[in-house]
Amino acid sequence: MKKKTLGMAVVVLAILTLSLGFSLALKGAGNLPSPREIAVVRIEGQIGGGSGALSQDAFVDVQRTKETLDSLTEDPLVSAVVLDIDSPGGETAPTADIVYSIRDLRARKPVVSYVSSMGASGGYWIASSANRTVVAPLAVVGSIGVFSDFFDASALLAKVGVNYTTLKAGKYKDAGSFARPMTDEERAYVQGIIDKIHDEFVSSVSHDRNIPVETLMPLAQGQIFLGRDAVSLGLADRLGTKKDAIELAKELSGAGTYSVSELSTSGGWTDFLRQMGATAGQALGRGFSEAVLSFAAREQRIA
Amino acid sequence: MGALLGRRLWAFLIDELVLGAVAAFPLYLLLTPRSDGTGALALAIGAASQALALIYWVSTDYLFGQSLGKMVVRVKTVAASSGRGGGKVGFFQALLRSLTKLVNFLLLLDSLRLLWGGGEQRSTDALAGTTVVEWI
Repeated sequence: MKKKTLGMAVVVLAILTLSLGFSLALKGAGNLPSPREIAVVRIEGQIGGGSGALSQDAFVDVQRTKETLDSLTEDPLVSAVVLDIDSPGGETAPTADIVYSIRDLRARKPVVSYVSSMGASGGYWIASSANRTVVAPLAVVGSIGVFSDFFDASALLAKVGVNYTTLKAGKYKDAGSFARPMTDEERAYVQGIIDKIHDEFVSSVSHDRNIPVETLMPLAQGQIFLGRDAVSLGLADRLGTKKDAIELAKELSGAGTYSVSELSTSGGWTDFLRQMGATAGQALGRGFSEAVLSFAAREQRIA
Repeated sequence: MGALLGRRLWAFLIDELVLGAVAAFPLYLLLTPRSDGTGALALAIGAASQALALIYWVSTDYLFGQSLGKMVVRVKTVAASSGRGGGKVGFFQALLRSLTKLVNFLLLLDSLRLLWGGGEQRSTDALAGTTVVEWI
């Protein structure tokens, strides 16, 4: 029994030695490129409103996007980030959430946004929060504005003989109800909120693009601009391709040599399948290492 | 059946914990900062981690008839023909019964047989001619 226990210890130690040896060989040999010096993050689809695996192609996964941006902020091997944007915008709060993460990222390393096809409304808000913005000549850019839809179905309800009753506490609790016309007071209340969101949007773009509010305001009436017009109006820095955006990120970071890695911010089925293909031991090992690395990064930041 | 199945589950959890600590942890700790989870390096980390796990499962089954987890919970892999006689497991038998442990989903399918087979044999046990018995 003692002999067997000793034998088992030898096997476990041998596995540990092999693991360490392999890690050090790969780390020291330097025969593999570091793949994340310029990270490209794809931000595609409507922002917010979608959740779950089945909607991953149509909506930006806000939580995952933020996690990716936050991890890139801490990653010492990433010297710059390119945001590859194709989005018509979406909900305001999730958009602002992503913008805050980009500002944190930008404080640590250069961020370049690239709009190939559409960077409108919230999509433009995100693009404008980078250090530099590169757009394709025919990309749709801008649409700095806010809207909210309400419909009044009271005439229809009356026509079909439906009586709709709302009991409420709080004057504005059912503002925007479809069962009655909006009162002037409610209209002013909702318009006030929309104006505040618009002000926030405009001041954010004004700050990040360094355009005075009075200059920006005429361009922030919900219009869209083609890429080449956006550059001449100061809403973007230059025309170009994704490769140009990566080159610009390289210049800004001062990286001599670099490699590019494309990061997906989609979740759902791909994650599920990857998990099913891994073993519990691998997941544990990865989990332990992530905890240690995250702790080390925090300590380094405090120091 | 229930007792043996429970012990096998505990043994597996202990072994995965050991493998997580000694095989996967150093690899991910030292190499993850250089990998984005895709590409050649990520593939190398995954492959190395799986290879070390396979070495562990096969060598412990072949040399001792028990992994560390099985030793703790006192069960043993034996040649099916020997039953509780404790016949030694051959190298290829150990290899065959270990392969599905490298992919969670396959192991799950492989283990379904335990639910109605007495808890002694996974499908690959039956194929390899091995069985797991309580071993005091």
